[in-house]
Amino acid sequence: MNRKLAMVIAVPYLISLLLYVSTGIFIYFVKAGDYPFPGIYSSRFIFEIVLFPYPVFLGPVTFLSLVASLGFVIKLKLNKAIILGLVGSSLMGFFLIGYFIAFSTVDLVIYLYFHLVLWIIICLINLLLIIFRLKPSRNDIKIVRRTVLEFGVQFSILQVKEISEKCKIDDKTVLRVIKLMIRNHEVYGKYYSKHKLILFDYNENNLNIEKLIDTFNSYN
Amino acid sequence: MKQFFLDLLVVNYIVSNVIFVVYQVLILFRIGVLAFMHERAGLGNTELGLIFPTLLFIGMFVNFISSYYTYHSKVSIAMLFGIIGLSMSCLVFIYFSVFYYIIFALWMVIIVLPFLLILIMSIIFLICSKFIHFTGEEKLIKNTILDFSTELDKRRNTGSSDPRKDRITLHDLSKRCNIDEDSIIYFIMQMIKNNEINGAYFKSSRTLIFKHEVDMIRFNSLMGD
Repeated sequence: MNRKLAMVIAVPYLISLLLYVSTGIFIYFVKAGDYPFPGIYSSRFIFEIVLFPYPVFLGPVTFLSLVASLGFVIKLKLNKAIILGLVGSSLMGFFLIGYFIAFSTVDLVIYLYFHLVLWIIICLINLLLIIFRLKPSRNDIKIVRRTVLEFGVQFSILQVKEISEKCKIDDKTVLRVIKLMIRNHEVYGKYYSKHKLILFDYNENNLNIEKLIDTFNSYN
Repeated sequence: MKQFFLDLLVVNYIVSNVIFVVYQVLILFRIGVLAFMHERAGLGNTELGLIFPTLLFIGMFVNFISSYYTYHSKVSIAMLFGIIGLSMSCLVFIYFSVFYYIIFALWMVIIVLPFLLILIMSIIFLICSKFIHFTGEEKLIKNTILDFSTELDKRRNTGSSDPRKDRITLHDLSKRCNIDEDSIIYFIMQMIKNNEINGAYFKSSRTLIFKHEVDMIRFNSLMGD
């Protein structure tokens, strides 16, 4: 995933998150006070689990995990973004079901349908992130391969995040492409997973530059 | 020069911060007692006893983090924490100034106000220091980087170069020159732009890495650009 796409995804993510939180606060603090909730008292479980702990304790956790997920999307760290996104949306989903049961008898249901739509949008965004994580686009791979080749003749040692920063593509795609390039002798070097470092064989890369570029062109 | 001001700022920051917060808590206590005595409605025990003192102490803690980063010459982060901390302290101060100080303790406002002003001035100075660069600093930073580059070239020529020595972090440069990291980034970018050094700055690792001498025109022509 590249930076442009990340920004395109981040905008609806942020908007749906803000709408979710603002309507959530509205429902809990403004609207909910007007109703006696005849339905909810029939189940003590719903009252104790859904109505009190979620907005007070788990609500902020959900919000923070989704905000962190959004931050990681912008920073192109897809793994963390997906994990936090899934945690946040699962919590949202779990309590959304509870709210539907609790508020089913009052006219707050309309807000819950709105929440449901927002939840579906957030889930779809997370699904998109998973797809982009599993299957990077051909264009992204080409950009990474070119950048790695260019850096392989100029630098001796680089970190994965540094290459990711320069080509504006997520670090997992960069890492995957680098490993593949080293294995296929498209660039001479060694990857150290402990420090996430690539040690380029600068001399070898410069001596075989024509061969390396031919291999690069043959892939495109 | 700037570092001297930053060090001065740290002391100033901590002292005014502690005085401001401790004094505010004392005022809150006094207002609490007075409100109780006068049975004044509107100011709940939760506000006096829990929310505002907590906000004040969190604000003080955030301001301490800011002074820690100021001490370590990380102006941007210091600025961020400083603004958050100050906002928290100001929120309480403004709230009470408007609603309660005028009634109960006007003279206390007059005493505490200078410390608040000092805190605000410190933040303003931090913001300014991010954008103002002294000529003395420029020379020192440029000489340090050029010395490092010359050393590296010598090592490369003798063939004894360790690849890890191609890199220098901002933290190390800041330690060597005793100048804040933001100024160093500014001058590094300037040097790269003017081709004074053959290197690249990586924001993600806050590192300056020196390149090998390569004919990039040939590389680009081979790539078909």
